[in-house]
Parts: sequence; C-alpha cells; structure tokens
Amino acid sequence: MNESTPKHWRSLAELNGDPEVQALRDREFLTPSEETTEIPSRRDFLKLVGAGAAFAAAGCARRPVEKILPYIKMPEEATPGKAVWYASTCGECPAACGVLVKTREGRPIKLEGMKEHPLSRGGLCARGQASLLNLYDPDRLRGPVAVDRATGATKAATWGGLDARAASALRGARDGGGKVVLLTGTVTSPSTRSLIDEFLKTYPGGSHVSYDAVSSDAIAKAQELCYGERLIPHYRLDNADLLVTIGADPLGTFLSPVEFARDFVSRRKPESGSMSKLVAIEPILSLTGTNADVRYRVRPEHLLAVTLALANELLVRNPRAPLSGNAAVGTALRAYPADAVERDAGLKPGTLGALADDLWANRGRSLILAGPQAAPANHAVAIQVAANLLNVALGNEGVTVERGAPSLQAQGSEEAVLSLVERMRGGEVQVLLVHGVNPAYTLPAALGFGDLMKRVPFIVSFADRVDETARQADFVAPDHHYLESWNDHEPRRGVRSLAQPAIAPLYDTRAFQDTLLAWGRSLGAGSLAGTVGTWHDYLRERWRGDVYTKSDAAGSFDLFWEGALREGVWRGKGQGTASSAPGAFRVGALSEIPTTPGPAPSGGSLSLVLYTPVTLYDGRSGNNAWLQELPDPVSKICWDNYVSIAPSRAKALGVSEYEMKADVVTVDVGHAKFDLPVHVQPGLHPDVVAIAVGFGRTAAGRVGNKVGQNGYALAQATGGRIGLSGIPARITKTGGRAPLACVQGHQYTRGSFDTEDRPIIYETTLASFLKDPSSGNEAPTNEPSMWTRHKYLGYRWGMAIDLNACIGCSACMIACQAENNVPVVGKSIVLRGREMAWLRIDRYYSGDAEAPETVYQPMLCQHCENAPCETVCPVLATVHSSEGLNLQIYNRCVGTRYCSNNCPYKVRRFNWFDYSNVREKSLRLVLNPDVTVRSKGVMEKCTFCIQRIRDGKEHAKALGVPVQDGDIETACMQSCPTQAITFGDINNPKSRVSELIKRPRGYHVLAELNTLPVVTYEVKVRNREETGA
Amino acid sequence: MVSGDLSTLNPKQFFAIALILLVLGGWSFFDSFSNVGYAPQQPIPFSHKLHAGTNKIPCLYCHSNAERSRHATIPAMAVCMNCHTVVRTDRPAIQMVTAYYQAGKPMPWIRVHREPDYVYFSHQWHIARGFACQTCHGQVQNMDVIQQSKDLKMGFCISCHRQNKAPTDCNTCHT
Repeated sequence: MNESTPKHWRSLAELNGDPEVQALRDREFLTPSEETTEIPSRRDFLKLVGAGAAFAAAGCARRPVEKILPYIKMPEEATPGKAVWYASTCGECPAACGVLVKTREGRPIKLEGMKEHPLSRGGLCARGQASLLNLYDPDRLRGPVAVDRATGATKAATWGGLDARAASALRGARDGGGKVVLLTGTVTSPSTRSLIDEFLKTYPGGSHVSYDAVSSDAIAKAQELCYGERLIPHYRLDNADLLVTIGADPLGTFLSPVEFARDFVSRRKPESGSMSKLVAIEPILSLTGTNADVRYRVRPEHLLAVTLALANELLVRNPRAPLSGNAAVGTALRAYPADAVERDAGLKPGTLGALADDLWANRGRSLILAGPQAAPANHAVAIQVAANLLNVALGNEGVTVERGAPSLQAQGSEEAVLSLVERMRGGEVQVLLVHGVNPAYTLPAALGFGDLMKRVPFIVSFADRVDETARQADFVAPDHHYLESWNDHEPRRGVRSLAQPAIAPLYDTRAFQDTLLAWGRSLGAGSLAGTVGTWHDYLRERWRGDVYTKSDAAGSFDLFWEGALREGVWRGKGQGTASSAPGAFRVGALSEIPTTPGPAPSGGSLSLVLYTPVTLYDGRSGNNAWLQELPDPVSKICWDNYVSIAPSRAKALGVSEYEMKADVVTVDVGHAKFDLPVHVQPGLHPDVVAIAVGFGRTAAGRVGNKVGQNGYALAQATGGRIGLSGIPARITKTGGRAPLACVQGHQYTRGSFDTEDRPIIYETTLASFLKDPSSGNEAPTNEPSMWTRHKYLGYRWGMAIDLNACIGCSACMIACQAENNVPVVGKSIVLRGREMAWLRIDRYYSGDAEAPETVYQPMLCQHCENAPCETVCPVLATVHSSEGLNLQIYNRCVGTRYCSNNCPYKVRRFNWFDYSNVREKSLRLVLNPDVTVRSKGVMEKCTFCIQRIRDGKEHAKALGVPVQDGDIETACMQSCPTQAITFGDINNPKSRVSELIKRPRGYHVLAELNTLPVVTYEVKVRNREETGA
Repeated sequence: MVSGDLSTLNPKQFFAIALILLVLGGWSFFDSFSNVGYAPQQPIPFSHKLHAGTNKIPCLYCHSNAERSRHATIPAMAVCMNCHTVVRTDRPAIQMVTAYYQAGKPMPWIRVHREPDYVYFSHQWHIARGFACQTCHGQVQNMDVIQQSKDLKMGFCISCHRQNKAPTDCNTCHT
C-alpha cells in the first residue's frame, strides 16, 4: 500500500471507529430479513397449494387475448421499434443546454446532451435529464381551470371562457390606465421576449418583471456599476489556471453548470503536464468546494472582507497591480488589511497574502468568481464589485471574464420584483400574469406575496399545476411542457438554439405564447392585433427577420429553417471568438463598499445559509420523483432537507445524526421558524447552519408535497435585495428524532475479508504525479487464480473512469435511471437500504472531520472476469458473456440474492416489490421499450447499457465494419458533462478506453480479491502541497 | 400423507408437499405457453391464403417494417386501401375495413404471435440473414385463418441459433 494515500471514510461514525459500522458492512441489508424461520401456518400451506391449483387451472385456458392496433396511415418518419431523435433545447432552467430528444413510437423517452452545442457540448445535468419525467407527471393540469380565490377550489374552464374573461380584464386595465404586469423567470427566448414586448406595449402601465429565485442579479448590478452595462459576463473556466470561488458553486448550481464543469475539467488533465488550481472560500461544503484543491471555511459575513483583503494585498500593502496608485481604491480598501481580516475570519495568518501572491503569479490567467447569493444581502453587490476590482487588477478581463458575448442565462432583477411587491401593496397592479415562477413559494415569507395577491383584481398563472402561486390566481392557463412546444433560446449572445415539439401536447394545454397572441388579438389594438397564425408562425417570422438575414445561407428561408431545426443550434459569424476589450473600470463603483467591515458577528452566534441544492435547484421540479430520490451529491441524503451543522457545533449543541436517525431542531430566525432534522456535515464552517431551498412545497403534487421545509420562508428582504445567506439564526433541540434517508451509510463497497480494509480510493498530488505518474497508485498484484482465464475472441467491453474528472454532479445517475427503467422506491424503502440505483456515486472524505477533502467515485457493476456473483447463482441467472459482460437474466432469476451477498462492490439491487407497476398510466410512457421492466423477486444491476451495445453493434453490422470508438456510449458516459467515463472495446488496442486503462494512474477497486474487473479507475490528482491544506 | 392437524408437519415435510403440488400445477401452466395452433377469430375473415398464396403478394409488401425494425408490424390501414379502394369493394368485410379507415379507427386485430416482454427478437436481422418468414411462422400462404404453427419457445430459438452458429449468449435475446 502506498503511504501517501490517506485513509478515506464515508461517515463520521466510520471515522470514529464505531463498531456498528463494521457490523453494517458485513450485513447485506439494513433491516433484519422478514423472511424468518417461523413454522409455516396452515394458512401458508393453503396459499401455496392454492397457487398450484390456480396454475393447473390456468393451464387449460388461453393466455389473455391481446389486440394489435395498426396505424391508419403510417407516419413517414416513424418506424415502430426504431428511435427518432429531435434536436432541441432543454427548458428546465435558463442555462438552456442543447439536447437531443430520443423518441420511440412518438413519445420522448430520454434526453441527451447535444455534442454540437457550444455551451453544453454533449453533457446534460441531472435536472435537465429528469425534466423528461415532468412531461408525464400525472399531477399536471389536463386543461385550463378557474380558481375560486376564497376557497382555493378549482373548476375546469374552457380556453374560450378564459380568453373572454382575460380580454375583458385586460381591456378594463388599459382603458382605466391600470397596470398590467407580466412576472416571469429569466426568458432566454429572444422571440418570446419580443412577443412579450409587443403584448405589453398596448398598456400604458404594462411592465415585464423578471425574477429568479436562484438569482445572479448582484453580478449584473455590479457590472452596471463598474462598467455601465447591466450584464452577466461569460466566465471562461477553461482559460483559468487559478480559479478562486468565493461562495460560488459553478460546478453545481451557478448559472451554467454543465458548461462550467466541462471547461473546468478540460484543465484538470495531469497527463498534459499541468493542471489548473481551484481554491474555494465558502461557508458551506458546496459541490465546487468538494472539488477544490484548497478550501477555506469562512462564514458569510466575512466573505466580503476576505475578498477586499485579497485586493488590499495586491493594490495597497504590496502595490503591484494596475489601479494601485488610485486614491479611491486606496480609500475603499483601507479598512481591510489582510492580517485583521484573517483574524476576524479565523484564517491562518498569511493565508490571504500567500493567495494574493499566487493570484499575482497567475495574473491574466486567473478568475475570481463570487457567488451572487453567498454573502448577506447588504454585501451582495459590494462583493461583486470587489471581485470585479480583483479581476481588473489581475488582468483577467477579456481572458477569463468576457463581456463581449455575455451570458443571458440570468436576467432576473431583485429590485424589480421587490418593487412589484410594493406596487401590489399599494393596490396599483390591476392584472398580474405569472409565468415560469412561483413567487408565493420562493419569495421570502416575510414579504407576504400570497396575501398581496388578494389586492390584484385579476391574476392568471401559466403554471402546469395549481401551484402555491396559482392557488391564488383567478385562472390557471397551463403552458405546454417544453417538449411539447416551439421555442428558441439564446443562452449566450450570438448562440441561438431552437426547441421543437417532440410529442403532440398530451393534454388540453396551450403554449404561453399562443395565449399572449390570442389575448393581444382580442384586444383589437396594438401590433399584435393585425397578426395571424400561431406562435410557431411568429417564431418563424422572427427567425426570418432576425437570424436568416444575418446568416450567409444561400438557399431559401424554408431550407435555412429546416437546417436550423435539424442542427438545433445556430451561431452567428465570429461569435464566441470575439473577446471584449477590458472596459474601463469605474472606481466610483467602490462607493458600494462599506467603509468599515462593520461589527463582527460574535463567535458563538450562528449564521444561516440557504443554499441551492444540486438536485432540486429552486424547487421548480419538486414533484419529480427522480430528483427527489437523487441523493444530494455531498450529504448523500434524499427525500428531505435538513439543517446541516458542523461536527464540532453538533457536539456543542448536543445533537447527533446516527444510523439515519437525526435529532430534530427548531431553526428560528426571528421572523420565521420551523423544525427540521439535523445532518452533521463535515467541512461546514462551525458557525454556520445550512438549509437547502427547493423543499417544503405544499402544492407541487403527490410526490413533492410536504417533503422537508421551505427554506425560502427564512429568507430576508432588506435594502432592495433578497438575502439567503448570513441570516442570524438560533437552533434549539426539540427532543424529537426523525429519519433521514442517507445512502452513504449502507451498501459499503466491501474491503477484503481481513478486518483491515484495503483502500478503495487512491490519490496523489500533481507534484508527485509529475515526478512519478504512478504515484499514489498501488502496483497491480498478480494473485494466483483457481480459475482459467476466459477467452474473448471478438469484442470485450470495458470502462475507464477518471476520478480526477468526476465532480460528483450525479448526472449519470439520472441518465442510468431514465435509460434502464430504474424505479423510484420512496423514502421508507431507501431507509431500509433498498434503493434501486444501478449506478451510485460514492462520496469519500479524508482528513480532519471539520475540514475534510472529498473524492467521488461512480460505482457500478464491475463486470468482473472472475465474478463472485456468477459462481454462487444456483440457477445460472447471472452468467458471463463472450464479450466479457456479466449478464443478469431476469426471467431465470429466482431471487436467492446469493449474488448480491457475494458481490464485494455491492452493486446488485433486488426487487422487493413490483416497483414499476405504477398505477398512473402516464408514467409508463417514459419507460424505455428496449429494456425489460423487472418484476418482484428479481435481482438486477448495471448491464453496461446492453441495449445500447446492441444498437451500436447493429449499426456497425449494417455498415459492414467493426464497432468504432463512439459507436457505443453507455448512458452514464453519454451524459457526463466532464467526460469522466469512457467505454469501449478493450480487445482493440487502438480504442480510447484501451489507451486509458494502460495509463499509470489506472487501478482496479479491490484488486486483491482477484475479481479482475473491467472497470478501471484513475487515481485522483490534487493540485496542492503534499502536506495538505 | 396429510392427515389431521397440519401444524404437526415439520417445515421440511410442509415444503416438500407444497413443492410437489406447485410443480405439477406449474408444469401444466407453463406447457400451455406454446399456443401452437392458436387461431383466434379475427374481426374480419382476412385470408393469408388468398393474399399471400393465391395472389402471391410478398409478405414484405404489407409487413414492410420487418426489413428495417425489430417489429414486423401489422400494416397500416392505408396499405389495405392501396388495393381495396378498387378491389372487391362490394364485400362486407372490405366495406368494414373502408368504414374503419374513413372513420380514422384502427382495426382491432387479435394478436397471434407473441414473445414475452423479456425477450428481444429482431425481425430485421433474421430477414437480413435470408431466413424465410415461414421458418418461424409456418406455411402462412396456406392459412385461411392465421394460426401459430411453431411453439416459439426458447428451445426453438436456441436450436436454430446453434445450427446456424448464431450467438447463444443470454444477452442475445434477454436484455
């Protein structure tokens, strides 16, 4: 064993050497088996005999008669049994990644990232992939409804009736000079924005308010102050040698995670001789923080001071950067000397000086990225100004911060929505139209948005369900799901993509834009009055005028349009390469910076951070069971939110979380409070408590209602900003306990049969790697074997997983779930350790419990050559294929579960119930018809996406050539935003996977068991000093 | 034998008896899966003998997807109407097809050949290898009423795969 590899642990109990953990590891399932050895009763006997008799009787009858219904006319493009793909754009969040929609027999069954899209480049996050399930959500509205505001009762309405009511309300508002307000989230569609403008122009007091619950408004505001233009720059993580995040989570939830993850990991290839360095300064352990080379824990109140102290080091104490002599800069930074800030923030003396030196050494190739909601509301803009100052001082403008082609993925304005609230309070708003946001749920409860809605005479929501906001509207006019709609998107200036319907609308819904067109026309005035045609026609005309004329397309517009639909994405000439000139930084913006750091929060006080979870984001897809059951990448808890507390603080408060049972505490912020279980989270700042937003929905649907508590209720609205961090909070123990479904406490990948486990994770540092590429790794053992080696004459499938590229985002888990019909089981079953995920991401910590380092390991069936499962199956239901796959034959399996017991990687899953036999028919439409739906009593596990292997082989066979790299991509590999997973033929020495598995970083997990897996992991490489941070 | 109080049985005896009964019942049940000779009455008396036999219409004229997909598929109603807008329009059955077609309703055919959901079978590759449809479906061109003529069970598939040196890995059919 290599001495440099630290000991890795999965839970605090394991770190503390709790004997229970060892017992757990030796056990296959958490709960004692119910199938105990009681003497069978008379009733059991009769049941069994009855079954035999029923079988015998059934033998005389025909099986159920089944009908086959043919097409009337076969659609030209459809071949039953063959997938049809549509290029489109993901509509789950405004990041607007390019997608390919896989449809079978007319129904979308999977979303995959589009390789040609300049932002997402083939990846798609977990939320984007799971948004497919929202299409089939049985709790969607089937058509428009009228809501009785007094009682909340809903009644089916007709589009005609709704249109008439809306037209009269709109006409009344226009004639009476009343205000018409359209409240939306970020609208990335330029054509929709233009339609909205045309629609609202008719009203003297019409206004469009954009509001994002997960807001980047502070960045835009600071850009406006510093450069005179309100925009979000295009951050180039691929150009950054040194990336310093200050409470920002670009790999998890910030702005454009798929794009950022791809860019970040493109610079994390140690084989290239260099690697970028990521320094995270943050209060909570974010996904980005878990991937940081160096991480500092700083409470939210101190983030601004720390940022300014870095600037002070570069511009005042040791003036070297541009703007150094500037008097305004000197004045602004005077109160923030590094030594004082380090003392206040609890950082080691010299930390910030050393970081400033590191930044200076990487000037022009570094990036300071401050989280727009990480600091308290009164610091939010100032910290962005400080980050801008640092990026200017370091010459990063135009290299890692580009304003020439800005991001359009966050256009919400906190000031605008708060001013809307005030206008509603004053009774000024006569008509309120709400699309794509849920303010009654996401705005701070203290604002009382729900009550203020009562002062608006006419409200229409375009939500797909009667959500928290729609409950208080007059009508709900449900928009299509984005897979049923036409649309276009411009996530970055110059990058335009189209979204096209992949299925006809399932229900009597209508595109939001068609509704606006209908209302605009019925008004009989304004620019929309004279229009004809649908939203689709409007969109085409916009493209004809806006895009076609600017393109160099030689053919007709129809040809251009067809091409754009086929490609899905269109880029303006020269876009993306144009770099912005470093705009003149306006030092006047520094007036935002407080002249003194303000009173330091007292040491014992607790600071609440409401963070955006990777799984549920702002809560928009709260009714999505795939996302609810997706464990949080860091805490590994699903189906709940919780109060995260640092281990030392938990000890001080006398609260604990153990064996999925947690103490319940009351979180009190003064204006609101609620009870939640605690989660003891290593790496959290001891003075911080953290709660995820996005939970606690009350009108999401049957899946999402009453899961956790609504964190937004604790948010603040002060000084024209919405504050999610640095909220003073008090925690008191209630004495109650509640279960938390944490998946990292069971299904331990088992070490050897000795009591002392062998490492499952290997890691090294960049310096050591450059000296010895096999550093941190263990030399392969050549154990003698009782088995003769298999012969693989044709293909042999294998996989390489780069632990240095895996950021833990869990996109692959949802990809696997969608591809392979993996069922959702619910919280109570997860608590028994019976979740069904074929692919899980194990999260390991190492080092100090208060400030650990983290590493993620995707764990799936290793398709061992000497598979322990195969030797113990009494019915040969799990066997080895001639191409090296470990096969699970469902129809042969009798459910002894011996295989799972004998699997050292604990990747096999047993169907305790008929999980897929869902009562809601709409949910069956999402099933992949190429994959068997497993029934009760059957074992299942990763197949390496055997149906995709077959498709790839059939494709090659049709061409008469062998399978090439890229012909077969497993679902996990396809979805991975960072390309951490490579699949292919390891019998072909020229394949990509063969090259990867030969690299010195490669190792097999639990190689000493001589199972000979075909999954090769590559050692994690950290870019930090050998001794640790 | 089972007499008196069942609780006097020890678990071994209990399960032995239950097992015997289960096996006997199960045997007759699973044996019935073959469905050889299954020839349900279809909504119209469509004759393969007339179409494929007498008139020698190639199988793939109607079941055209068999060449390019795993499913051979029942032809779309429009395919029937290719001929029957002019041919034999006086027959009640044809008038029924026409009525269905014009109403936009599919003909509710009764399925005859069926593999279980856990079996992957692709018509495309079997046709590409040059197998005649009759290999699995029997002499359809002689059938007035379509019926199943082979049991289409695993043994039937495997023996043919062995004879033709086709793969016999489990995942060839079970995915």
